Amino acid sequence: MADYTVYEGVVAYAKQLLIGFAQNSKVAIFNDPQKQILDIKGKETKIREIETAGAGDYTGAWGDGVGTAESNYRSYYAPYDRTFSASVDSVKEAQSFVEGAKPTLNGVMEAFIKTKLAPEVDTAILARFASQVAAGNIHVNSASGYGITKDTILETIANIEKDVANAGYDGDVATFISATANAALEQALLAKNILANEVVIKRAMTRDEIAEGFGPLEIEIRARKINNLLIIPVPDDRMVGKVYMLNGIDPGQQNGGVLPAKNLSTYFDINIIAIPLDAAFANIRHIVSNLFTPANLDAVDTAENINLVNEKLFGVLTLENCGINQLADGYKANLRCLYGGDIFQIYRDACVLVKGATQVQAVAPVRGEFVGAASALSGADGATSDLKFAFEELNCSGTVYFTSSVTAKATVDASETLTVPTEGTDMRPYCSPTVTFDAAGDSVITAWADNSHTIKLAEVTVTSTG
Amino acid sequence: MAYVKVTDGGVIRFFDLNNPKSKAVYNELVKNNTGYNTVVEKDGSPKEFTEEQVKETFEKAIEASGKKKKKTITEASRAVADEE
Repeated sequence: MADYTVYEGVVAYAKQLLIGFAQNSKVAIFNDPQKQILDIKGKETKIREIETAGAGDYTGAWGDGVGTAESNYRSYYAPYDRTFSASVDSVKEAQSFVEGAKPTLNGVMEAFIKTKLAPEVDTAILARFASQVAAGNIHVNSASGYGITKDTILETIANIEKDVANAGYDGDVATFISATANAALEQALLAKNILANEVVIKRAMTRDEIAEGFGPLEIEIRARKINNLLIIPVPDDRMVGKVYMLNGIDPGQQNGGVLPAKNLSTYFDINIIAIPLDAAFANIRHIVSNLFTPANLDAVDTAENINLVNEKLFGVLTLENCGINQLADGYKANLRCLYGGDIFQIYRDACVLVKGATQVQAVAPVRGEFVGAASALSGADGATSDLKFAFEELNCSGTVYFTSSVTAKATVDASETLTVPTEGTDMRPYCSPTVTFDAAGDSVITAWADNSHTIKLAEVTVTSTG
Repeated sequence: MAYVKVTDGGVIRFFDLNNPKSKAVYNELVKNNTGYNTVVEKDGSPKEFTEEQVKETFEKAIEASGKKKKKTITEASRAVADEE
């Protein structure tokens, strides 16, 4: 078996953690560690935020009547502090070394990042960004000029460019687009034989080489560019305007992760959100602690060397308490991720959001049926007949509402209260609206669960013989 | 069980203040105040939710996402009717 030290394994994990996250998270484009001051020993990050007023007249004395600008390093505490524990038994991990394969614990953490953590980070931060776009730059996709079909999306892209330019920004704009909208964009581009160039943005994730034998780490982020818009497709389920974050602690939340809040009337899909690269930051930090390896491997100056590694990682990744697993039966690690992001105040009107309409959530339809004799379904002008409407849910009460599609042919009681049977073969709650026939012809009688007639239960055609 | 709801516009979280672990996360979140707002009653006190209300909220979100739980026979017959 290869003679890996704790130190070498830790650095290998470090590289994979940084690479894995940058490759799989879309908002990581805003996580530029060189623009943040991270304290590797604490949770606080210093984010430089610039605020400025406009220019003023010069009155002969500096500082008198002149607009002001401030550059503050404000303290930022990432609001999302999430954790994950991984363990792999030593036999499986040793086997991966024997086969020359990627270490299994590495694979476990990578899978977690790719399938759980990166999607969660994208979902939470994009929802947060969407709530920070200036109100005047939020467009519903049904609005003229901001559609997302293949016939309208190129106009939308042009209008987004215009909106950003009118806000005074001419640099590159990270334009996150849902997979559905991107499919429309692809069709539109192909139909017009337009090629959008691919660009590469580089991020230095480490300061010089990480450690002896491990070179500097630079991440390449690829995006398709249309003028100054960097088109970044994002899976639909990460482009949500409202999301629940499950804490993994309380009952009902043990699964952890995030859950789109599509049950809310305020929920909306994010179709496209355009954020200039200078307009926002994402603060994403990993802490890998209690990384223990089996006792049959050597540990060489681990603590001292890992401190040096941490200093070179800008604090984006912090390794703590790495050493020998006294149980000697496996590799274990706690992965903790602190993350968050904001759009800077002065740039919020340079961002654009195209979203789906908020939705009216109907109650899940509960059905019923009109039952009874055929004679109730027809009658002469002026005759009345009782329909019987049975509601599918047993042992419930309430009011059922009725409408007639052609009141000139037949009218019906506006509402009836359900009666719950106490005996008989049909124990469904029921009511008996009265139909009054009029001029000859058909009319459809509809039963509704609500007074506003949006939740249909059943319908039946009645015939007036005139 | 006394759950409080915290929102920041886009992300919504529930914390059980009777669970020390959950309460600790809530306290730190509120203390650091990075734009999070506790949902409050009219008098300004935090609005409390029961565990059942919170679970039902998540169940509705799962249903609305199309990731439904196993149906009863009645629900299944309604689903068939819907597809028809």
